[in-house]
Amino acid sequence: MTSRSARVACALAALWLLALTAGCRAEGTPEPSPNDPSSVMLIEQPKKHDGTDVKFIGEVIGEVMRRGDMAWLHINDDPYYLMNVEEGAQLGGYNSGMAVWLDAELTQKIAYYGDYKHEGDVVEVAGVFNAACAEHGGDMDIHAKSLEMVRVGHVVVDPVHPWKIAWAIGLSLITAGVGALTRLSRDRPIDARR
Amino acid sequence: MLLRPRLEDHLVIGKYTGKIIIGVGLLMVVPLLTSVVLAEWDTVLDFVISVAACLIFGFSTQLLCRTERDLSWSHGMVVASGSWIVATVLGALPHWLSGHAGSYLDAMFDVMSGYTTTGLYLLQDLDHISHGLNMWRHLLTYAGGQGIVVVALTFLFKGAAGAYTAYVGEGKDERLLPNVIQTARAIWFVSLTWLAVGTAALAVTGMVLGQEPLRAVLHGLWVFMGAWSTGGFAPQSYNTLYYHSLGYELVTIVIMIAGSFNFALHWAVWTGNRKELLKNVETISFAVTLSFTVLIATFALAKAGVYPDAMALFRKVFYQLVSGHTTTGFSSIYVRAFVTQWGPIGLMATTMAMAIGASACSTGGGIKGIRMGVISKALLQDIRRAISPERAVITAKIHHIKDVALGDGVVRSAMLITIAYLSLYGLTAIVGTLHGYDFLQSAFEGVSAASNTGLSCGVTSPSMPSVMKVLYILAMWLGRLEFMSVFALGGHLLSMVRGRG
Amino acid sequence: MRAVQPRERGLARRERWPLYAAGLLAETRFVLALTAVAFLMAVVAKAVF
Repeated sequence: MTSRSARVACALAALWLLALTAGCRAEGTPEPSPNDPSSVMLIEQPKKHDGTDVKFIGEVIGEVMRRGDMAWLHINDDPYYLMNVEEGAQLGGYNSGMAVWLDAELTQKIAYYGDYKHEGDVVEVAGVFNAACAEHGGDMDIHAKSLEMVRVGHVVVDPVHPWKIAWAIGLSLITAGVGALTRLSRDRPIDARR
Repeated sequence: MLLRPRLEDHLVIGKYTGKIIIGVGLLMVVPLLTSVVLAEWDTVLDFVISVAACLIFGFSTQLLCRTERDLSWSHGMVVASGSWIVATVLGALPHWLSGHAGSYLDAMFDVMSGYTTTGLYLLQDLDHISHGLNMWRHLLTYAGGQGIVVVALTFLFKGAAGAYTAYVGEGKDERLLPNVIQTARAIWFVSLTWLAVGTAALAVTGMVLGQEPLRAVLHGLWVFMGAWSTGGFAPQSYNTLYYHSLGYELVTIVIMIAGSFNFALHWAVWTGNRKELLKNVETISFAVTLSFTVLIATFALAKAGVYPDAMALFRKVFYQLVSGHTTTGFSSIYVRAFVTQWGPIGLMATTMAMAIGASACSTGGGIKGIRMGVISKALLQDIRRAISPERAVITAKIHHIKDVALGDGVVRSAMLITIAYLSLYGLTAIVGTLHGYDFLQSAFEGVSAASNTGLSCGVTSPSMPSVMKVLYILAMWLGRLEFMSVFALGGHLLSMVRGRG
Repeated sequence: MRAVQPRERGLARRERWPLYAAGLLAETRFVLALTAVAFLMAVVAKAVF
C-alpha cells in the first residue's frame, strides 16, 4: 500500500465514522415532563424536596410488585409517557421516573403496564418524597397516599416494517448461496485453486 | 524493522476472524428464538437480518481466505482485537434496527459496552424495548465476559494449536487444563453452572418480591448475566434499584464478586483447594482494597448524613462499591445521585475501586488484583532491601494457585500495563474536562469506561459529543483486551502502509 | 474430536458435583464475610457521626 492509498483509506474511515453519527430519526422537541418537580428535578436536588408533599404524573412501567398489603410501582415522567418509541415517538433521551410505594389496593385500577407491547396507564399519585427512605434501605422514593387514573394505556401493535421483510428475505437468500458455495469449495483441496 | 504482511498473513487473519463472526451470528439465534416464542415479529426480522449479515461475512471469509496455515502469535493478537471490532459493527445491527438508538455509533457504543462487559448504554426508551433485544443485550455481555474468542474456541475451532494466541490476545492467559480448548470448556462449565444456580436464585427471589413467573425468570437470567459477566446491563432503566430488596441485592453481590474471580481460582476452589480463597494474592488484594474504599465512602457519607440509618448506609455504599470494584456497574441509586448525594469523596472512592477492578482472567476489567498484589509486594521488597544489610538477599513471592517468585520481569510487565491503564484513565478524564464536564465527573466516567465498569454519574448520554462516544468505545476496547493485542493490530495496520515488502 | 469427548463428559461426572457444590458454597461464604465486615463499618460509622 502506498502512502497515497493510505491517505485515501484514512479519509474513507473518517467519512464512515461521520456517517455513523447521523441520527436515524428526525430531531424535534421531546415531550416535556408534566410534573413540577419532575423526576429529574427530584434527583438533581434531593435535599430541597426531601420530606415534601409531591404530586407525580407518569406512565406505569413494568409491573406492580406486591409486598404484603403494600406495593411498588415505577412511574416514568419521561418523553415517552404519552407515546413510546415503538409507537413512533421521537427519541428524547433516557427514561426517567420515580419509584412509588403505596397501598396495594390502589394499584387494582391499573390496567396496562408499559413495556414493548404496551403503553402503560398514565396515573397521578400524591404523597411524600423521600431522598433516602429510612423504611426502604435508603432508596429514593415517593410514599403515595392516593392514585388517580389520568389516561388508560393501550396495546401497542407491533408494526412489521415491509422494508425489513424485503431485506430479511434478500439477505437470507444470499446467506444460503454463500453458505452453499463455502460447502462446495471446502471439498476441493486448497492447491487446486491456485 | 517492519515487514509488510504477505497475502498468506491476510488469509489466515481473515479466516479466523470470519469463524468468530460466524459464532456471533449463531449467538444471535438465541434472541431470535426468544422473539419468535414471545411473538415480537418486528424484532424477529431485526435478528433475521443481523444473523444473515454475520453469516454472509463469515462464509465469505471462509470462501476467500482459504489457507491451511495456523495462527502465529501476531496473527492471534490481530484476530482477537480485529474480530472485536467487526463483531461490534455487525452486532450493532439489532440495536440500530430497533429504532431505539440515536445513531449507528450509539448502537455500536452499546454493543462494544456489552462485549467488553462495561454496561454503559445509549439506547433510549429502554423500558419499552422488546424481550428479544433485551436477550441480545445480556447475551452479548455474557458471551463477552467469557470472551468471544473463547466462545468460538469452544464451538468452532477444531484443535488449532495457534488458537491459544487468540485466547491470550483476548486478555486471558491462564491454562486451567493442559489444552486451550479444554480450558475454554472448563471456563464455560464454571460459567454455566453459576448461570443455573444464580438464575434460579434470582428468579425465586423475584417471584417472592412480586414478579410474575415469566418476568421473574427472564429478569433473573438477565440480571444474572449482567452480574456474572460484571457487565451491568439490566432489563429496566432503573437498573437494580428496580427491585427494592436487600435479598435481591445480596444475591447479586455474591454473583458479582464470584464473577470477578479469576477462572483459575474458581477451578482450584472447585477441585477441592478451598483454602486458596484465603491465600490467593488476588482475593487478598480485592478484600483489602474493597474494604478500604468502602471504609472511605461509608465514613464520608455517614458524616454528610445522606442516609438515615446504618442499614441504609451499608446497603447503598457496599452495593455501589462492590459493583464498582468488580467492574460490574449495577446501581441501586439513581445515576445522578452519585453527584447530588454522594459528593466528591464518594465519587473518588468509587473511582478508585473501579480503577483497581477485578481479577485477571475473569470477566472483569480494570488494572486487576494481581497487578496490585505484584506492585505492592515489589514495593515492600524494595523497602526491605533498603533497610537490610547490603549482603542480605531479599526475595519475595506471590501466591496464585502456587507460589511464584517475584522476578523483575513480572514486576516490569505489571507496571507497564498499570501505567497504560492510568494513562488511558487520564486521557478520558482530560478529554471529558475539555468538553466542559466537571473534572471529577469526567474522571469517574472515563475510569468507568476504561475499566469496563459501567457505573455512570450522568456524563454518558445520547447527547454526549461524538468524539467522546468514539473515545469511550476505544477505551472500553483497549481496557478489555489489556492493550497488547490492540497494539498488535495497530502494528499490523502500520506494517501494511510502512513495512518493507 | 472423538478422543476429546469422554473427557468433556468427565467435567460433569456425577461424583464430582459434591466437590463443585462445596467450592461454590466456599465462594459464597467468602463474599458474605466481606459483606459482614462492610455492615460493621456502617454501624460504627453511624455510631461515630
